[in-house]
Amino acid sequence: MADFFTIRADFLILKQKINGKRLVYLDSAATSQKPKQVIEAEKVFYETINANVARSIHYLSEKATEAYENSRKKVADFINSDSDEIIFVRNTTEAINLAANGLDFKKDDEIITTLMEHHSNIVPWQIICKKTGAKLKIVDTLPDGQLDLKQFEKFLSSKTKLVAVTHVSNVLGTINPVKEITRLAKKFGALVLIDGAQGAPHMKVDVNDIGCDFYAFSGHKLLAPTGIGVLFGKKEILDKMQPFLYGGHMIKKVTKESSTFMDAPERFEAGTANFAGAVALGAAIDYLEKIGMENVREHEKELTRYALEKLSKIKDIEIYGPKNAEIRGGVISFNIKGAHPHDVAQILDSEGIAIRSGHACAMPLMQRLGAESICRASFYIYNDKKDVDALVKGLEKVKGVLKL
Amino acid sequence: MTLDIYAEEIIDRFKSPHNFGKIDKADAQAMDYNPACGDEVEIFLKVKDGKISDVRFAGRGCAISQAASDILCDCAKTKTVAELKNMRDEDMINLLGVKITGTRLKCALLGLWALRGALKNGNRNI
Ligand SMILES: Cc1ncc(COP(=O)(O)O)c(C=O)c1O
Repeated sequence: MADFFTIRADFLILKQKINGKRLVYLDSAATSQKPKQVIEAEKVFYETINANVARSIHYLSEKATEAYENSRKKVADFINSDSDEIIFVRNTTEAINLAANGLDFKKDDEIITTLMEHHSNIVPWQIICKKTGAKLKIVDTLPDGQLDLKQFEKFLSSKTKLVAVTHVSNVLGTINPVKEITRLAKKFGALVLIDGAQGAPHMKVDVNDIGCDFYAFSGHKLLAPTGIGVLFGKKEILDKMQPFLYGGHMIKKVTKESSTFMDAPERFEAGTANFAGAVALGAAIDYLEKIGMENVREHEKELTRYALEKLSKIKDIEIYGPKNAEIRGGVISFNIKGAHPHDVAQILDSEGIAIRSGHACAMPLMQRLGAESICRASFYIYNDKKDVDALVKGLEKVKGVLKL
Repeated sequence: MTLDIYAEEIIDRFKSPHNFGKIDKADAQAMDYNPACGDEVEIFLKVKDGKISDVRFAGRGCAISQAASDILCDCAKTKTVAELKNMRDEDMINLLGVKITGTRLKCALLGLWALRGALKNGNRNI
């Protein structure tokens, strides 16, 4: 079993005091902190082998290319896929836009998404539908924070071209049954894209087992630097897709009149890539695999269970999403009656506690919850029960300051 | 930032604002919206002889945006339309009397933005 007590020491940022208090970072769903091993990997890359990849014939370029491709292999293994199915992008948002723009939609095609998506898994599909005349259907959530799978089954038909669904909700924490959703979609020959922004960092993901066609995630939520993300796409589907961006690195041959393009993944990686970021992502994956993704999940499940129990004792609190930690990731959104999330966050900040406040980029879901905005605490490997206790104590202070 | 911004007056106004409500047949009204949190404030104005005769605000939001809107309404009642049109962001912060920085500035200024909107698209008699 991993020693979660010593893990915190690898995150130097967590050593500082905020407003004289121990920093309690509960905003990892927005972005994770980075261990020194990851920061070191990026530094070492720049100090020893930095050069543009796959361009020049010299020692550094070869080493850099090797490191870049080595990271691609690590990512592929991490989610049980093949290297040529891994496209490096900036983040989840870019990954979803790449898939949305690369696929061929027609009038009367239907795209199914859900009410619990981050804006990045709704807006691109809205735009595609506007451009092509395809139709968007949005699966509702049930009062317990799970997807209405009955409605989803009703929506499915031979017209369904694609199902876009989040692995884990960034507001409700709900872990969706993505394997079952994929199985249902496949009965109608639909493609399945999974937004794994809150999935891949927190649990073992096996895209082969799930059976999905696309899986997107961001490095920055998975201990890696900003600006590096991943789109997994099944090889046979990527090969049929249009490129998203055009330019250098993705071409085979260019004449004055026309060009031909490389195969995947290069076909989708126009321009100089964030190779240093990719190398650091490789180091982040090494770090997580050393702990073991099963252990990461167990740790967060335990914290979530503890937090749900403690928080639910607070008077006038409303907690959104499933009450059962088995189907819930380490994300807990809540509201305290009479307290605006901005004020809650501000007062918690005075205690060194960092949470998210606002609509969490999920405005359609906010409407469903009947809230303008929410407070959200989210956990990762460096959090412990002390952090939860600090949050509970901080919320008592909030009530005091706001005279609730 | 410390908790000074949650001064007694701010909390009291948040909990029981003096000027909360709407004005039927207002001479000017406008709503503004903070996309970061979904807060919205709507300002209603009654004008007589170039002076503000009544002003109210409605909407929802955090303690800062609500208290600031309330204080702004109190202030507006003593002003002419011309004076209000000249009101700057700093004036609003000064009225609030607490130190506001960074991300909370938008909260503090939401009411003023709505007021500016109202002054811009109000009836001809203002
Ligand atoms: C579920 C989900 N999808 C997508 C995103 C977008 O991620 P990024 O901003 O890294 O593109 C986020 C992050 O906020 C998220 O939580």
